[in-house]
Amino acid sequence: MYDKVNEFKILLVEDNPGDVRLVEIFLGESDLRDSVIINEKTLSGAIEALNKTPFDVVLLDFNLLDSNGFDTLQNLFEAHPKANVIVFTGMEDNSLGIRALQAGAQDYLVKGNFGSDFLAKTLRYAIERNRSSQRLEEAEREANKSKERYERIFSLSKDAIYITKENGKFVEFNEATSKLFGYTEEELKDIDAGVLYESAEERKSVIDAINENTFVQDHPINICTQDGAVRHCLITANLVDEEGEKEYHGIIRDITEQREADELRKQNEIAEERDQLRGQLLTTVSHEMRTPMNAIMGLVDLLLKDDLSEEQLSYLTSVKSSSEHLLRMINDILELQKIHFDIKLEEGPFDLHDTLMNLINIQYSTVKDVSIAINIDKNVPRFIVGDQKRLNQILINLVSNAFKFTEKGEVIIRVKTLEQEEDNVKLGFEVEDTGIGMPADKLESIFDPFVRVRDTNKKFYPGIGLGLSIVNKIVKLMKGEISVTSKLDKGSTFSFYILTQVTSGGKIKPPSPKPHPIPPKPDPVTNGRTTHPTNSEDKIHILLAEDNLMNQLVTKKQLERDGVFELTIAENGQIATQIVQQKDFKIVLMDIQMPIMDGYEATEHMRNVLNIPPKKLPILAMTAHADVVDDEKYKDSGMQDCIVKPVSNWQEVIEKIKNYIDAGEDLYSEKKSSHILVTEP
Amino acid sequence: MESKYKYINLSYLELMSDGDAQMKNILLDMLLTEPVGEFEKMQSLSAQKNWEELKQVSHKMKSTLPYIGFEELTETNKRIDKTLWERENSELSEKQIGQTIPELVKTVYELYKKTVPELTHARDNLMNLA
Repeated sequence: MYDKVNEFKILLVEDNPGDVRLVEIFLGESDLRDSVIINEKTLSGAIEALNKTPFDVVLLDFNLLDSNGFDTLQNLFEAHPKANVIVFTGMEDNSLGIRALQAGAQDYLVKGNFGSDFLAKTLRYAIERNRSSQRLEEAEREANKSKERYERIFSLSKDAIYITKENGKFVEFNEATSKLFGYTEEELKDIDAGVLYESAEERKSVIDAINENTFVQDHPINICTQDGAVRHCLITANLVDEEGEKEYHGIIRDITEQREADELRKQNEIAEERDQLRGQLLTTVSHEMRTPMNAIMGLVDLLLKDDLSEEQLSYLTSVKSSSEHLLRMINDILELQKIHFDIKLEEGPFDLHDTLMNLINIQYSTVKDVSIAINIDKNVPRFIVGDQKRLNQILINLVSNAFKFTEKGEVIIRVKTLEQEEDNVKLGFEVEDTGIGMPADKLESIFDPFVRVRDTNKKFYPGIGLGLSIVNKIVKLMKGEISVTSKLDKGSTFSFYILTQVTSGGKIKPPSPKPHPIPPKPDPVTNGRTTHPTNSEDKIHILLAEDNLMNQLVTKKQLERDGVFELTIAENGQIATQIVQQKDFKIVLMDIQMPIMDGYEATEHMRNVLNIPPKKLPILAMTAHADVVDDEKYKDSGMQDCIVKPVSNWQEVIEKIKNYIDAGEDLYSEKKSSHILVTEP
Repeated sequence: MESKYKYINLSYLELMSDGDAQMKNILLDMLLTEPVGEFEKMQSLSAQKNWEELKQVSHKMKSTLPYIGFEELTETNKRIDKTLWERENSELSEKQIGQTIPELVKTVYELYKKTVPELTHARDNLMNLA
């Protein structure tokens, strides 16, 4: 459509060339001379032209080649109801013009009765009226749309939207208002809005604020719902003068959950910040302490190599022991912080069974009557992908704890497959002890840092309470969870699972020369000093199955004195049967009387179940039983010889051991037996 | 070897520790701590007439007590051990065992208690030696 004021697009529907020319002349003489006139001689031509392009106005003659009379106008409107039409009538057809107006035409012109100016004025008025009418229709449409939008917002809003009179009577409200206050629509209509505030003061504060400024925005209020609950809300409301009557138009937003969440988030942020600060402080202090501690320990080690008096040695031993304790604490703190902030698992394929069996190779305690056993379900995969070092750390920590809090009984490690889907496997681990147990109220906090356990005398067990916290964090890194069940004086069971993948053994790297992942504990005999110049691999490995700590210490001391032998100690026969499969032992020294599994049973197991022949592994009984020695009862179970305790001549024992190791098969074929006779002090 | 103490004789301990003071210290510490629990356990087992477990504990002590070097103590424990191990073939009736063993257990503990001041002295002396 043309925008210029005097340039309209006019469709002249007229089949009389004289009338067409006349219109053109009149318009040419008027201020509408720049308008474009398109002439169509038929009604169908006119409809087609209107189909193609809009016109500002249509000048329509009733009598055309293809249409006649009033039908011409009706047919045109039928095709284009919105067409802006001025009809031409003859002098005698004035009534027809009026009918045309009633039918929707803008105006009518009587042929021969209008001049240039009149034509232009009629056209202009018609066009402007039409435009006004279109604008009005457009405005109405927009108003309707807007109303619909607001009604939708009103009904769908989660905020309560309402209008009340000055006396508190609800005029209008949405569904959210009913929901917020807990009343039905009918109930709410009969309620004074004032009673919905938590208190009269609350209401007064809102009313005063609105009266002062005619509105409030995000004003905090507490409202009281039908069931008596208090909700925290924000109110935005206006005071509106509606034809002389005051109304409050308001929106109420329920922020109870948001406020609670904000409060929780705030508390978490404060706690996190506190944790971070504490962690940073601990890390800094620990770092600063570790350097001088290492220096102290290094220098103590150097001093220990000197020729010292017994008193000096004793003092230095205490210094070393205390330093080691302190360093362990420092390392625990640093480890916890490391795990908390920036640890990454170093994953790779490894032998799970091997890792588990290594657990029993560790000397957790030598003075307690506690045995250890491992139970691995048949369906537990041997090779998995994961962080072997960290899994080991978890297990050693749990098993060490179990020993720490158990005076008598056993520690059992159980492993089973909980779920498996193709290569993905969920492995469950349990470490159960028969120790002191924990009260139920301590279980929730047991994985928190610095939580420690007290003994029956209310004294703290040694440690700083970081071990389980570290374990918990590592388990979580392995996409697992850890939990504990416990009964006072009965024992505790720590259970955890990890998610991992099964792999084939072919991917496993060959073990390093020293596969044991755990740093060895300081030897109480040598106090950690290196006494053997040769490598462990070069030594002759002896397995000593002995539950008596003094015998362990003395035997180790005496046999390792020359640096030829290296002893591994098993605290009972059962452990001995497990350890014997892991290392190339040349001989076993087997105490007869031990808890869990005695020396006879252990020997029979090695010979008959593990099928280890005497020529491969001689087993020498160590006993204080005179009858065992006299009757050679030890031979019945598969032992070759006997050492009588207490030993007074260790050189003889050493010779005997060497004999068995060196002699090989001949010795067994001869079935020699040469008791070392011990003269007891 | 002559002992300077009335009850204890540490020559076996000396021999086993190869003169290593630290080792001696550890062994003396153990002799001052471990047997207490074991003797108490023996008393309790004796009161319960739990001969089987008592036999195990006594046997365990058999290789520990020689380090103390108090012959009466060692021999008394050996008697307990021997009596209990031979219980089934023994001429002693169950009643006689029930009378003998508690007495021996009591004695062995009393004898051990006599050695404690000397063991403590030996250990302290060891620490004070220049």
